[in-house]
Amino acid sequence: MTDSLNQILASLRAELADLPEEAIRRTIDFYEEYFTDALETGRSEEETLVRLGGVKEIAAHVLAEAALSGAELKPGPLSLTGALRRGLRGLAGSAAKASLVVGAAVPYSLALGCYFLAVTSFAVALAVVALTGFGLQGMPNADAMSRVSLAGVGLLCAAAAIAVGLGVWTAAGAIGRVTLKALRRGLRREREAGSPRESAPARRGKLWIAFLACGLAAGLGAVGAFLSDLPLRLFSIWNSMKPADLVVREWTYAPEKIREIEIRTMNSAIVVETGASGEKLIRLIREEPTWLSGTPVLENGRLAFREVSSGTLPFMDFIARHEGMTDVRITIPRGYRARSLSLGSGSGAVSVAANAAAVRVENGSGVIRFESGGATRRIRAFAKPGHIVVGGKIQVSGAYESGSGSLVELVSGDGTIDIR
Amino acid sequence: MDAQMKKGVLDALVLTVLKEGDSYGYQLSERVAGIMEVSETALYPVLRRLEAQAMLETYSEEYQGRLRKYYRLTKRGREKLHEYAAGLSDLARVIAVIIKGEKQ
Repeated sequence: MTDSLNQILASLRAELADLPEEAIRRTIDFYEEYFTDALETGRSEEETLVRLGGVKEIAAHVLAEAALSGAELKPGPLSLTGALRRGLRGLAGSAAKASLVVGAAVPYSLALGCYFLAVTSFAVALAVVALTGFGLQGMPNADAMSRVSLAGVGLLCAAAAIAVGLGVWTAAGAIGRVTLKALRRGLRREREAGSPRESAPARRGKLWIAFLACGLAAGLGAVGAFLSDLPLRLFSIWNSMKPADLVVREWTYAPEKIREIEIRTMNSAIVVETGASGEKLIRLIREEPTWLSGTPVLENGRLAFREVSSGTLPFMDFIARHEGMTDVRITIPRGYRARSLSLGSGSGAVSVAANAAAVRVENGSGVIRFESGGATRRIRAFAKPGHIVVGGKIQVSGAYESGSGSLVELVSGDGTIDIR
Repeated sequence: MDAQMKKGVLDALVLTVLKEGDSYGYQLSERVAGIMEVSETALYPVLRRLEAQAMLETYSEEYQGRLRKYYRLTKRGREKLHEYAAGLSDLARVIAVIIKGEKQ
């Protein structure tokens, strides 16, 4: 074989590289014989090549025929023999393709994770529905509004979970599709799966309807939820979380120096209790998180304590208000009776179990507990937008008169409760 | 002659040439080129296709110290050629009418 024939065949081999080795060998054999026969009739390799139209022209015809029959194409880009052949032909190209496949694994596993998250969201929605049903059965004494409210909260949560699930599911599908498409393009395999699929606009339309339905359900649920004070009660439960790092401060005072006590907190709970027998001092104990501070001031027989923000609230004020749910505790010796006891909290609980000539409690949205401490007295309780709960019965507003030694629990939604 | 028509005719022409006697690649190419104006590169794919369809088979014979691949028509190839000829004679009649009509 001459050098120039060797060169021609080598470049033809390079042009046909995408074909299986068997097909390449057969083509090379044919043209080797062809050029040799032509040479014997006095036609040089260059002359024959010109007649044939060049190496690229020869390859184009072979490749076109292979593509038409399909039989001579490589079985697939990921087949082991294909990968090996590519590896032998050009390590760089092969490495690039291998890294492409490995790289595609990252977004693909992300898509799988999204699918998992979506399924979890749907499961949460189901669980919420089940829990709501269970909760509705477990409140036989509740009024219709409370039931509607609970159902509303359930509907709101379920709709939100379904919407999240749908969104994540769609995202997972999109990530998966884009990844596969990029991978296919990267491996130079333009043949798309020919299975008929729903067109994208149709899918998008259905998705919009699903999201709209979720939004409507959530809105309906929200309206239902706020028909009663249930959201505020749930808010209060959340409100009862305490921060991890607390400094406990304590101040003590002689009872004879104090006639009036006024405590104002942002959200901390206020507890007024009678001390153990033998205790002679009034004690004020405060659990202080880093972002709140307060120091009692004693002036002309009036002990005032006001909670203030230190300006280092975490994240935002709203969360801090919840996190700020700590205790301000006042212990009063037995037999001591302050002239007035004025307590106010943003949304913390207020509990009173001590004697005072006049008690006034204002609360944002927390629970107020009042224990008469054994003395017979008249209690007048007012709650404007809130409710007064007495032994499980709800009065929208009005006065309640307690008997001797009874425990009265007053729950305030947003209103002020006056106890005199 | 347009490409599409050439492609169909080329199959039949290769079979016809081989009916006259076994031949090898270069000789076949020369013979076909003598009858019809066609790109020489088009021959190899046609031979591959016809071989795959079992219309022709190959054998190797020594020639001046090297092996030469010969193509031979099979029984199936003869039958196919018969079919082609029947179809093409119909076409030839139509073509004759078209040419006659165009000349008038």
